Amino acid sequence: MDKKDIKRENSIKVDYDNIDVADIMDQIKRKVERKQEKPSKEESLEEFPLVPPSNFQKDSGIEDAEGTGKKKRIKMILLKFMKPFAPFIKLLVLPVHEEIMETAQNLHKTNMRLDSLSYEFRRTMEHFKEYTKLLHSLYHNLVVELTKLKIEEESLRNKTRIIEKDFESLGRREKALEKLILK
Amino acid sequence: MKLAFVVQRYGLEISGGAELHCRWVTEHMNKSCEVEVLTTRALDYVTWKNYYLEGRDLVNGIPVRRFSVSKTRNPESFGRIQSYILEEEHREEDEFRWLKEEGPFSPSLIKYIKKHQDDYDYFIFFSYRYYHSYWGVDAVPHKSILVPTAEHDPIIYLKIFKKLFRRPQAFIYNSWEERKMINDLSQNEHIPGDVVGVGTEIPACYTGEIFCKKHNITGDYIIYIGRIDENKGCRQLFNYFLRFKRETDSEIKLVLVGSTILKIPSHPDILHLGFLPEDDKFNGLDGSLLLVMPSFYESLSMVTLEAWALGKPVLANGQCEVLKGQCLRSNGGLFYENYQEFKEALSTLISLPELRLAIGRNGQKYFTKNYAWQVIENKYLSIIKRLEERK
Repeated sequence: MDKKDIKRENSIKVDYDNIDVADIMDQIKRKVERKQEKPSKEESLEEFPLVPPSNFQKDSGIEDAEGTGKKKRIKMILLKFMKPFAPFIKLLVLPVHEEIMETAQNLHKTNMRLDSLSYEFRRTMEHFKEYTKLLHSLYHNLVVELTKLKIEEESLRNKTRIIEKDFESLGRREKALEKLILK
Repeated sequence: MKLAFVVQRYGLEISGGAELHCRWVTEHMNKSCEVEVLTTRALDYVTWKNYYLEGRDLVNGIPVRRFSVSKTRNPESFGRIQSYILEEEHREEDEFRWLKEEGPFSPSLIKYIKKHQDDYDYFIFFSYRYYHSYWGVDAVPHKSILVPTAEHDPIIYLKIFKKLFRRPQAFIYNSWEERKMINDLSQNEHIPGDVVGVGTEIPACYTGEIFCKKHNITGDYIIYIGRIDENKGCRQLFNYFLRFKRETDSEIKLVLVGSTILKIPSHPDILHLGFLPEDDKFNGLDGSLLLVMPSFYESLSMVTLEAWALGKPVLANGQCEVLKGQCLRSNGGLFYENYQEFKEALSTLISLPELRLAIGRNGQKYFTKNYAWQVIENKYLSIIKRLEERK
């Protein structure tokens, strides 16, 4: 096992006799959160350093081309020829180099920001989902309540109609009784 | 006991999805019941154009009855209707119009089911979202069993499906997540059902060495098997994998097996081998460190089960509830929901061979316990037995 492996094993604790994926994923998520918090603190404290990020690599295609037969020899000759001018060339190239490094650093940071933004976006979406579910159940309850009210309204209307009819018949009875008494 | 398996397409040429699921189940259920497949003449799932001959056929010893598709699907007009019903306020008639466009539009199949319902004890319908399932269940609700093979996509929220999910006599689900989604959607908990899924056919002999030699692969690799499509999360996988390669010094390769409808980035460590025969596929799985499953929408993921059958760990997209649930239940895979988690989970699995082995073993145990063919057959039979007892 090499150094990297030992480091990895230190960061994720695994019980090999009783593997628990949920626990491993919790550890991974915590590790990611810790990593995401770190750069945001650093960002506010320091300016962009003029060194390339550790993971910044040259284009592998260029590397391959440099490494092959004839081109290598031509390159050696050119390098010998250019040696006296090296400090001057370095001076000329320095601003460009610094600009490239700065751009690479900026890109790296933008990437990190995008990651944290997408994380935030997903969290917000989760909240929206919950909110929509709540609205849905609220809507459902409202429909139920409205239906109940509608039924109640119908029964009250029927009762009113019955009472009105009773009232009418009582009126008629009253008139009939009045007639009898007056006779 | 005579069972009719009703599915949108059926044939040896169809190598994945609900159709293969149906074929395997039918072939295994043939041992204990009399079975017949009712399907269409289509082979192409985009247009449903008639391909096979109409009438009776025999596929791997299973009697198949094929019915013509009366109207092929026009992808453009289908796309328009689908966007309309997903994005706009619409009526139920619009959803029926969508269902007809979705197809395979074969009224003769539905007519046959209605007319010959007494010839069969039960009709087992595969894939809720197609014409044959909706109108088939509608024709014989008292004899229907639905295998929804539902994914968590927006189509499932159509109003017509809420009604459909309350009609069959029983359900055969692919996963617990699918069951919960359908129950929540249609409050159909009272309808009997079970989480069953599907087994897989593993070749007697497989070895990764042959695969590496044949395809000239040196060093460690992770493998993706399936259609290379944006909907399957492949674009995200490519982005994550390329970023992973940039940010770490890992020499890991990504091997892709399957036909593609997506531009694959040109990178020396991304190897696309195209569509491979079954034995080659299993050799590839055997030689890999793990299977990566980046899909956002899965009803079950048969290839994940195949990886577990071989004792291989899985790295799945955690945004897919089914894959995440399967990984947690089986302890047979890790999952990711963003790039940082992908990087950490993949690095962990690459650097800890012992963990890969242990997780793979868990997956294998989970597969044997839940997806061995005997278990699947027994679950189908027990559902039918329950329905018979209720009669």
